Amino acid sequence: MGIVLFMVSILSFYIINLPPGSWIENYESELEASGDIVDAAELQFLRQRYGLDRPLHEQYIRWIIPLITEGDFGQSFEWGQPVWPLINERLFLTMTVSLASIIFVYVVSVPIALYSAINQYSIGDYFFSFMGLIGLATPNFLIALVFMIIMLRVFGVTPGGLFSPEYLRAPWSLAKFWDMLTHLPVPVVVIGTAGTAGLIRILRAQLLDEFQKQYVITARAKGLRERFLIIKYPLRMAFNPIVSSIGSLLPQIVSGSAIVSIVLGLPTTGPLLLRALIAQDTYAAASMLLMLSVLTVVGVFISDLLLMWLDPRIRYERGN
Amino acid sequence: MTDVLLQVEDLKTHLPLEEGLLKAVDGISFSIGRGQTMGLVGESGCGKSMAVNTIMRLAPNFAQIEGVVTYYPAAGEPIDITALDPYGPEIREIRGGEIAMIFQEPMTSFSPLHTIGNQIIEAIRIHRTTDQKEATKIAIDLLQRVGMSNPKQRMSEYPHQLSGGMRQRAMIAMALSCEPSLLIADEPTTALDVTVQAQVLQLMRDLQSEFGMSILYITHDLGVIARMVQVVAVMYLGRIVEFTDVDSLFYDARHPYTKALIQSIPKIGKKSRARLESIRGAVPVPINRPPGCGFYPRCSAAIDGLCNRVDPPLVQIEDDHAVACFVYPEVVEAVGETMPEGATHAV
Repeated sequence: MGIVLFMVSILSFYIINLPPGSWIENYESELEASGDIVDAAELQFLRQRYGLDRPLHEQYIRWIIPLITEGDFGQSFEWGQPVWPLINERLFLTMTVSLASIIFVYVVSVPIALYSAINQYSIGDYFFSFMGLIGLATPNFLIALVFMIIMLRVFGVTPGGLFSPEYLRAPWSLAKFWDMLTHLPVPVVVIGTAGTAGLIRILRAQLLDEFQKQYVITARAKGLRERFLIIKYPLRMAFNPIVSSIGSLLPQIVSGSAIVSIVLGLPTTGPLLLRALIAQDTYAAASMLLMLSVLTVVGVFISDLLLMWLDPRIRYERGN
Repeated sequence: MTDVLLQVEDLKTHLPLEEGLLKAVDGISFSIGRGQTMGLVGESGCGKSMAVNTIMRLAPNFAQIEGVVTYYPAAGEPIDITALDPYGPEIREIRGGEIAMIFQEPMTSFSPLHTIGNQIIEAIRIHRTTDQKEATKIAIDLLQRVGMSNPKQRMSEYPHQLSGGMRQRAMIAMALSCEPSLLIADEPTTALDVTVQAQVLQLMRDLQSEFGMSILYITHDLGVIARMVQVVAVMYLGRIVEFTDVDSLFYDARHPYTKALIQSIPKIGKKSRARLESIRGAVPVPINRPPGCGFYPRCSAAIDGLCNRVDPPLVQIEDDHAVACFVYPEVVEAVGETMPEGATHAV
C-alpha cells in the first residue's frame, strides 16, 4: 500500500506540472488581464519562496519530506494558506457523501436486480430496465439541475449545499450533523443514480447467469424453498464481483461527483480540486489527489478483506 | 412388476425455442418398481437428462409438459407429480425426501461458498429433523458410510478442498441423507477417472442393498449399465426405442440403434487391426423433426416409405422386451400399416 501511494504521489505531482508554466505565470497573466501592475520583483520573490524556480524533483522533495515527517501538506498558492485546514473538512464531507451514495446504490439496486432477475422479461423487469437505462444515460449534473428545479418549484426550498446557512460556519454539533443528514438525500440520489442503474444491470446479468448453474439445481433438488435458495446461493455468488468492485466504485463516485458538487454547491473536494488544477496550485492539487488515493487504497483493501470473508476459495488459496 | 414406485406415462417435454419446437422428451413411458434398478441409456442430447429433470419438475419454466408421472409413496395416496406446482410445497416434499438426485459434475454441483457440512445438513433439516445437532450427527454418520476419511473434519471443508471422487461421495451422502425411495443418478461417474468410477459404483451398490432404495441410472456408459442395472430403457431423440432387461440388451438387442451401440463397444480379443465400429452420421437436432423414426437417416435396416413416414410406437414383442422398430411385424401391425413390398424383415 505504501509503495502504491508513493507512486501515486510522484505521478500526480508530475502530471499536475505537465502543463507549461506554473501558478506564477497564471497569476501574472491574471494580473495583466485585470490591468494591475505586475511587479517582477514580487513574482521573483514568490517563485523563490515556493521553490518554483527549482527543477521538478526538488519541488517534489520539498513537498513530500515535510508531508511525511510532519504531516505538513504545504502552502496553497491560490489561497495563501496551508493546504490541510483547507481540505480536511472537505475530505470528510466528500467521504460522507460518497459512502452515503454507495450505501444508497446498494440498498436500491440489490432488491431491484433480484426482482428483475427472478421475473425476467416481466413488465416490472422491462420497467426497471427502462428506468435504469435512462438513469445510466442521463448525465448526473442534468439530473441535479432537474432535481433543483423540482425542489424549487414544488417544495419552494433552495437545495444545494450540505448545510443550512445558519450552520455553514458553525462548529460541529449534533444539530449541525442532523442538518447535514437532512441535506444529504438530494446529492446522494443524484450522485448514486448512474451507479444504481449500472449495478442493477450487472447484478441482474450475474444473477441470471448464476441461476443456470448446477449448484442451484442441486439445491432445488434438495427441496429448498425457492426464495431461500436464491438468497443463499446465487445472490451470494453474484455478490463476489460486486464486492470486489467497491474499491473502484469509490474513486468513480468521488471524481464523478465533482461536476454535481459544483452544480449543487456541495462543499466537497471536487470543486476545490478543479480550481486548484486550473490555477496550477501544485501543492493543493497534489495533496488532494494524494488523500483521495489514500482513501481509495483503503477502500480497495477493505473490499479485499470483505471478499476474503465472502469467498472461501480466496481465503484458502495460500496456506493449504 | 407388482410394487410400482414411479410410473411415467407418455411424458413429453417440449421446449419452444426461437429456432422452433425442440421435442427434448417426446412421449416416453416406463415404470420403476420398489427396490429396482433401472438404466436410461442414450447418447448426449437424446433427452435422458431432460426426462429426469421433468420428473423432478426441474425443467425450465417455459417447457411445455404433457403426460402423467405418478409417484407411489410407501404410505398414502399416489401423487401425480406433473400436476404439482413446480415451486409448491408438495413437490419440495418429494424432492430430496422421496426422490433424490446425484448429478454429473461433482465440481459444480456444490456451492463453492458453503461448506460440505452446511449443504448436507441443510437437506437433512428440510426433511428429517429441525434439530441442528441431530442433523450434524446424521451428516457425519453418512459421510462415514460413503467412505470419507475423517468425516468430522470434512464437514467444515469446502468443495474445492476435496478431490472429484470425494466430492461425488459427498454428493451421494447428501442425496441419501433423507433416505429417499428413489435415487436418480444422472451420469454419476462420467466426470470421474476410471478407478474412482469403479469405487463409486461399488459404493452405490453397497448403499442400495443397505438402504433398499430404487435407483434410476442415467448414463451413456454401457459399462455402467452392465454392472449396475436390472432393466434398461434405450433412448434416442427423446423417445424410448427399446425396453428390456440387461441380459437381453447385451445378447439379444432388437432395435437397430441398440445393436449398433452394442457393436461399437471395443472388445478384448478381437483382431487388433480391426476398426472400431461406429454408427454413421450424428444425432440429428430434434428441432422441427420430420415425422417418422428418428433413427431413419442413420439406420441400415430402414424401410423406405414406412420408417420415414410413420413414428414407430414402442410395442411389446416378447415378455419384458419392447421395441419401437418397423422391422418387427408386431410394430407394423400396431400402427395399422402393412409392410411395403420387397421390404426385408430380418436385420
